[in-house]
Amino acid sequence: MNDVDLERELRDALHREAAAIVPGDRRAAILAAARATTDHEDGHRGWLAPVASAAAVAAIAGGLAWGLSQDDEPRTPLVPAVTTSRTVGPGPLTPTPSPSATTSRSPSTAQPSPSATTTPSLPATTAPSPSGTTGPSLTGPSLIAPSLPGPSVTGPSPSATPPLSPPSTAGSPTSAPAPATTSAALPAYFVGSVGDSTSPGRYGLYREFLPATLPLGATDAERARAAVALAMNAQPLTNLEPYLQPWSGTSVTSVSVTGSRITVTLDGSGPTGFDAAQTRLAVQELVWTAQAAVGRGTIPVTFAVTDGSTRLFGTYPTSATYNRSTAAQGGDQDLAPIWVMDPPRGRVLPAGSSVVVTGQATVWEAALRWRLSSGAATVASGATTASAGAPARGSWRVDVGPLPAGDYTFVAYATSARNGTDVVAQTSRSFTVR
Amino acid sequence: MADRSADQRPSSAWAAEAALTELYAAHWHSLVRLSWLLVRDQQVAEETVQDAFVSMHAHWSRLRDPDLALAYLRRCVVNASRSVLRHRTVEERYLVREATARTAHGTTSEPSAEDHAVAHATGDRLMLALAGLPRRQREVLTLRYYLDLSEAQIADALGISTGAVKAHAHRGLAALRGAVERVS
Repeated sequence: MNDVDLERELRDALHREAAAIVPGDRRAAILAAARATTDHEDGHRGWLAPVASAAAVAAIAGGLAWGLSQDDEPRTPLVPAVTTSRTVGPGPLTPTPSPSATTSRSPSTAQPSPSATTTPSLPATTAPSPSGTTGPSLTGPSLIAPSLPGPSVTGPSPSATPPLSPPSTAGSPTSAPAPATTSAALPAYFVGSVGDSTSPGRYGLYREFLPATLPLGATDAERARAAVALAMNAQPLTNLEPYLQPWSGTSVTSVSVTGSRITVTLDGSGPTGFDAAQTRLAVQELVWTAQAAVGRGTIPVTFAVTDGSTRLFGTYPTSATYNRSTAAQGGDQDLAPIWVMDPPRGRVLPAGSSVVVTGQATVWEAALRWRLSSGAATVASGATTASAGAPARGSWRVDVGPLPAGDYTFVAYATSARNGTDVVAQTSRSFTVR
Repeated sequence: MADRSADQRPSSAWAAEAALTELYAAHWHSLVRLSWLLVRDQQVAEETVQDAFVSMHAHWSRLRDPDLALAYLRRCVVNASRSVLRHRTVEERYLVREATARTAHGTTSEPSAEDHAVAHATGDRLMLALAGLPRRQREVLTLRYYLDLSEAQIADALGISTGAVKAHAHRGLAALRGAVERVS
């Protein structure tokens, strides 16, 4: 192949490859974040500001927060990488030769002197809100510190309250140095993309069971509070899953539970920059999480905001009661169409015994397809049938048989009823066989 | 747009917003796809580019020129994408995506996927080989053949000299040629 052919092939291949994705429309979110940033500099309500950019950085930083799955090595060496990811803003402005280019270990590459940016005044003046820590991602290294100590690098044994929003959760009574604690896996719901390639903006709720440390004999309220705190911090998972962070910069202050009411108190009404469908799900996420953690059915949930706001996301009145919509109302539609439930995230399974993957699905004609891959290779693929077809939610089970040691990813997906080829829902789960 | 608040804003804010809107319309897709080619994660790519736009807007008072702003966006995107890639988890995920991308994006069903693969066999090998190149070479080739940037523009985006761009491009292409010819 001569050079001209090679270049043509490469150009074609890159364009074909790039066309595989259809970028979602984020114009509104960008404008909102940009305006909020501007307001910020003017000294108004700045803490709402760079939600969007915080989300981006969080997504970048995400995976290291949890000692997830396959990777047992200490993640500490990665900290500099996160730090450098903050250079999104300031880095390029000061085109130092080869900024951060080759030295992945050196955090100093991330410090094109904050003074080089035009937003240096942000953090100092507006820091009190926890969003101050995630917010102004543009200003660089100093800001990253607060978000790091929280997530214990080794993973699933975080401090009493979830690692998530350190400042405001720390002071509550439940996290007092109670000597007797127990670890528990708490249900937490997240707003994530359903993986619809024909409509990339579709979101649904996913459930995760995440580790938390609770005082021995924790009350329902303590469990609910810990679970809600987990659900409100999607950041540790955003590198692995297409989850939004609709509660970025907001945290739960307290939860109270009676037989007929769960009251969730937040320290903010939620960031800007999310559309109505997303914020509705963000509220539902807390409802599902609190109800699941309490475990006594669909007790209505109401909200309070310590800053006096009366509407979550400026839309949903805190005075109202919220419930997960019932199945009769199509409630399951708030859930992402496909869930993988087992094996749990990051689970290490013994080689030699059959690996069984189970989950739930709300898919057309109950038809679910799956694919198991290891590295770049597809190990197996097939189809299965859920116990019920849409609109019902069925359960499904795939026995992939014994597997040799390795890291695997199981992808479950459904294709469009219209043409049988468009993927309309998809999710995946990684696990290790050893 | 409320006129009231309009009056209160400095005019530069309007200029920044107009520039943002215009650049978004013209470059959002290509920048997200550029980032996607580098990180292989659409969500991360979108967020990376979103962040770049917000940052560009914040720095508009220094940029004040669409061309400079676009160059700034490219630097942001490449830098941020590179930082993402440093993170191993993402790279692992990339491998998975790589293996599953075709079906995952639902462009074809399995049988026609094969046809597709045959039709683009060379392209697929190129993409695989590209993924295996050292990061710099991959960045240079992606900027050159996806965005069709000049050597000077690539040098600016990556913060390296044009000489280095030439060298990376040369080595990268040689490696790709080797990879394609070995197979065929």
